[in-house]
Amino acid sequence: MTMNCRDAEAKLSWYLDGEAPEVAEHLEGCADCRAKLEKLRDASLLISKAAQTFLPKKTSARRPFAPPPGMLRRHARSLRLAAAVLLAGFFGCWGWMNVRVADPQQVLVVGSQSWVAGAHGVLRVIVEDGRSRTPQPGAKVTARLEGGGTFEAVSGADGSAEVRVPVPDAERATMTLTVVSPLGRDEIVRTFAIERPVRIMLSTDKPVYQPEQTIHVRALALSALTMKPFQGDVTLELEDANGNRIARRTAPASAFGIASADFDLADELVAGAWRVRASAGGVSSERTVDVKRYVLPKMRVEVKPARSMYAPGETLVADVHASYFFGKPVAGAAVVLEISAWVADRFETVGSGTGRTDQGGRTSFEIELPDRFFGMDLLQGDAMLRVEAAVTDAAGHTERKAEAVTVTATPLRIHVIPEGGEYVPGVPQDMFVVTSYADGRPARTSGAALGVAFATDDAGVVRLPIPAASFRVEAADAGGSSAHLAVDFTREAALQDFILRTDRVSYRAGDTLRLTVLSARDGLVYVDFVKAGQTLLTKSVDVRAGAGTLDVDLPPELQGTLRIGAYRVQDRNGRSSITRDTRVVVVDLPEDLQIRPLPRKAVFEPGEDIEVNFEVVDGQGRPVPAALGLAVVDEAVFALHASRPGLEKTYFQIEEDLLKSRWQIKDAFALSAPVLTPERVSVAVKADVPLVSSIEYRDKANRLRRSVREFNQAATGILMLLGVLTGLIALFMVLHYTSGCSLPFFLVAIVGGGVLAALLLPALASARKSSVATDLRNKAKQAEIERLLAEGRTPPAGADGGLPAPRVREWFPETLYWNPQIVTDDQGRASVRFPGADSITTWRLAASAVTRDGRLGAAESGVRVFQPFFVDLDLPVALTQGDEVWLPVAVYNYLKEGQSVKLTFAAESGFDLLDGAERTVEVAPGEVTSVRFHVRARDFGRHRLLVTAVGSTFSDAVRRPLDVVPDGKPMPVNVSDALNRRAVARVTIPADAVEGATRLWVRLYPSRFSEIVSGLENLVRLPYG
Amino acid sequence: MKAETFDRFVREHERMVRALAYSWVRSASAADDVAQEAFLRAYRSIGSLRDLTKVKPWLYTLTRNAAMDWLRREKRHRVEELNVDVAAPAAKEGDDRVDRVARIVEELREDYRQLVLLRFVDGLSYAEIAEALGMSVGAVGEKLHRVRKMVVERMG
Repeated sequence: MTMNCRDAEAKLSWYLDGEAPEVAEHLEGCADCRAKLEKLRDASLLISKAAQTFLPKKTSARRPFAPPPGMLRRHARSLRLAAAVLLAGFFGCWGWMNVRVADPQQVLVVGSQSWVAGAHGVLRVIVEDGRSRTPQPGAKVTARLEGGGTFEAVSGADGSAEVRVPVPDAERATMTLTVVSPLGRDEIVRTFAIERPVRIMLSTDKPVYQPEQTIHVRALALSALTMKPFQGDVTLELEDANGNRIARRTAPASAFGIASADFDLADELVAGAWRVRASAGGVSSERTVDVKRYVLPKMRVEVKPARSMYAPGETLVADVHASYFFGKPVAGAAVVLEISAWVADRFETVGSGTGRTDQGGRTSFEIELPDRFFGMDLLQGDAMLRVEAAVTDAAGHTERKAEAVTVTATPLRIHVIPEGGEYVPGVPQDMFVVTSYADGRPARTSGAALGVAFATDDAGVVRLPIPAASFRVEAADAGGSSAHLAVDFTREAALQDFILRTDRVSYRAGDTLRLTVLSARDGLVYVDFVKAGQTLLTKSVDVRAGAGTLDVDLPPELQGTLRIGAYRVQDRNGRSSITRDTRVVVVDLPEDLQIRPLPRKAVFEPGEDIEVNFEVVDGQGRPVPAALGLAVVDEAVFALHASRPGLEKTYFQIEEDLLKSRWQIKDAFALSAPVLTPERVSVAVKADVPLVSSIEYRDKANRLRRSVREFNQAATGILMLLGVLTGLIALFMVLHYTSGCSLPFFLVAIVGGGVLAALLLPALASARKSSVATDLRNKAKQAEIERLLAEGRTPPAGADGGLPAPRVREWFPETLYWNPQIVTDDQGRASVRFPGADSITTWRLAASAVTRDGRLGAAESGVRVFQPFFVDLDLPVALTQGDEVWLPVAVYNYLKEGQSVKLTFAAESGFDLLDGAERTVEVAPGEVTSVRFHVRARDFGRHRLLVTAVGSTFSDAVRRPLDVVPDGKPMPVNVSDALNRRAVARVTIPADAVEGATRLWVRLYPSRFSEIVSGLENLVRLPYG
Repeated sequence: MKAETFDRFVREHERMVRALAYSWVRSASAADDVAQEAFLRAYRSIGSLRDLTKVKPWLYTLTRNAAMDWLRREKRHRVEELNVDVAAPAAKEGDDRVDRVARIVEELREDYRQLVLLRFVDGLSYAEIAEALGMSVGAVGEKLHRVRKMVVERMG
């Protein structure tokens, strides 16, 4: 007997459920246990019956979830058949007419519609017999460029000829192509737009803004070919999170190619991702900045997982480092590290630890990861972990920081993409083998595919001629990780959804990053550029014919590691899913120029003027005259990370994107495009030119032909109409079966909508172009700052002949200084001096330089402002009227000796002190502590709070404003009217409105349509409609 | 996923999901809400489920998440609703032994009730139950054993 009765009994329940078959052996020889088993079996039967009663008896009255029923499908077969017969007949007649009247020579021109000045324009001309669709070799192609010369080419065995012409330096070029072959003669006239590409590097002083602040924008425009400063107008625009254009400035670029603008933000605005755009010479460049209300962090928290990838069950090692922005480490702070994994649709904690920082502000954690992650099924075998540290300092202030870590059992990935994006059967084609790590880094590997050895480059890419549709690829990196992939293009092509590729792994600031998205499926792919948790740019790439590209000019401030995340939301057969890919690239500082910032002192005192000298030298150390752009911004701004950091943010945003209804008008019909056979596609792909073109027939100008053309146009019109009708029918079906919309109601709605659209259509185009929401800006804040500036400089008065009352620190700007263009002298030297603020922090000096011949340089350095003893108020974004809170005042003592400090709290207005206004506290050298004052927010509005700390050797005082919002529900009332010289609007203010809390905004729009858009937005946003 | 397929999917799992949701939220109408939310989440993200054999643990995890969200949301003003619709043990043709067992199970803690549902109604394996409820396989076996033993003891 292998098991005793005690062990067996404990396992009986398992055995009943088929989970412990080993018990069977014991049961055979033990009647006692068999009897127990029978009792348990009876109980199980009863439980099974009883448990059934816990199920709801029937489906509930409300259907839990009911997608539209498959009504359409019941009639689908007959509908489909009818449509097919109609379409086939139509196209048959049409094709027959066209083939009959056209002459046998058929010419297909493939090439781009626009050319780049100074480069070569390339066109591929394909000549064939239109009846048999066979290529026509030996056709003579003559290209005559208007005012430019004549170029000739002869078609080869595949019927195609390549025509190369130098692009003239003009607005546009007109070319006449003459094609002569034994089959006939064609003359085609094409006009090309000529572009002069400009590279625009757009920078802003900071990545996040609060209402009432100013966005400083600087655009540096250089010619992409010569790198000379661009001469011409540069347009700078600001768009709010809803896509409304808020402001637009056009100014000529300076001799250095620099244009700049300052955009003041209103105090009431749409928070979210705003866009700054610069355009010049037909090219534009964008940046995303966050606009929201926030409180600056007091300290910087860094979480550094030892690796960015882990295997399940491994021990995750993470270092946490916390330092105050004025340069001191956060010692003795409590640290909570939490590791959460993405499970199905949210993050769940899988491990945590606590610790305390040492004198250097550091601590480290070792946390064992679980052996398995449920989410791994959903993310192609990966799980995403969020490693979040919450650090609480001695003053009771907490900051958080999160980093993402990938958990994967298969660190190395292989993707194979045919050169055209899609596998074309029967055509020899190259394959791209792309190897990368699970966290997005490219992997340099060697391996073999179909017996051919290969080695991928730094970008993890190799191009191989593989003459098979199914084969096996193996790859291994130098570190011993290996992977293999079985490729079979004969099955459904969508082996992998899409792949993100950058043209290089590392860039220098000033370069253009070309991002290519390769995919077997066309459609939009969303791309985010993220640096240190801040999303700098969100774009979408339209993938067509297997590939889509996006060019991004890299300004010097992007220097560092840049993470590019791409997402696609797919809607296949009515189900949505998200697929993603990421790449990591490194942006280095440009080396052409070096900027040496030389602050007058290493550490400045609060309120003291700051003076910095600059020297610009070239690669050989010789001084060069240049234009400098300078931004001086509080370091704390850069440490501010989104409230939903990293991946979680991305997921939520995508989720929200999914829920947004979208519509788009697709290019309705492309009937005049040629029928593309695989051969042609591959020819076009090999020629590496976009596949946009037209087909031209031999032009004999006979009447029959013209009438066919007219018929073609009419037919296109009819088809479009048919398309619209089909769409309407489909819409009705959907509405009818989802919300029971009746036919008459639908017809009335459609006719009404049509009339409305017809009335509004002319306004639509102009509205989108020029919708400007003009908010009446609250100038009060500005005036206050100016007053403070004037006031703050007056010397403090002495008190009672004892220690002088400390100077009140009260000016805490986020951007201290901004100058888009400081021109140095001939020796490359420049000097700036600006008033220092009262903040005790490190100011980040970000300087970039450009010379007249387009050489670039950038530098970043810090200027520390510090005093050995100070106090600070730790305030929330706002309080609600009536709130009673303990407001913490942090006391920082870095004096060599301890001191006794008398703290006095005073509110200039709006607050009641509940528990005395004075406290005395002893602080040891190097100690950070906090003292709380109990207050009640009595009145709403902006109030200034003052804390004075008088110490035995050193004193300080600080004044900060705090907003108190009214205690009530916002009750918005919207009145819209057309302004015709004079408009009167009446608004009834409810009797029980909070006194003094009523505010009135007037928004003016240039057209009725944008007003409707805004009205609709309010309708959707507010709960009361 | 086609609408019809999803409809079938909902019909197949609805009762189980609602029963499971009920075990957390303890109110019939809230259980309906949670079930609806769980199916909505399932509909949205079923495309990302790679391993179709794990559809049940996956769906029950979504249900659990939805129920947890509901509880978090409703924590402040949560009212214990009397349950009339769902859990009242049906009077079954005179088999009062089943009634008694039903009452015993009804009195169990919620995690035990969920185990009973997943094992005795849905027939999930220990591993699948463990995955859906976020506990270890050992704990599943141990708790089921306790339930059976308790029923044996209480029923004499």
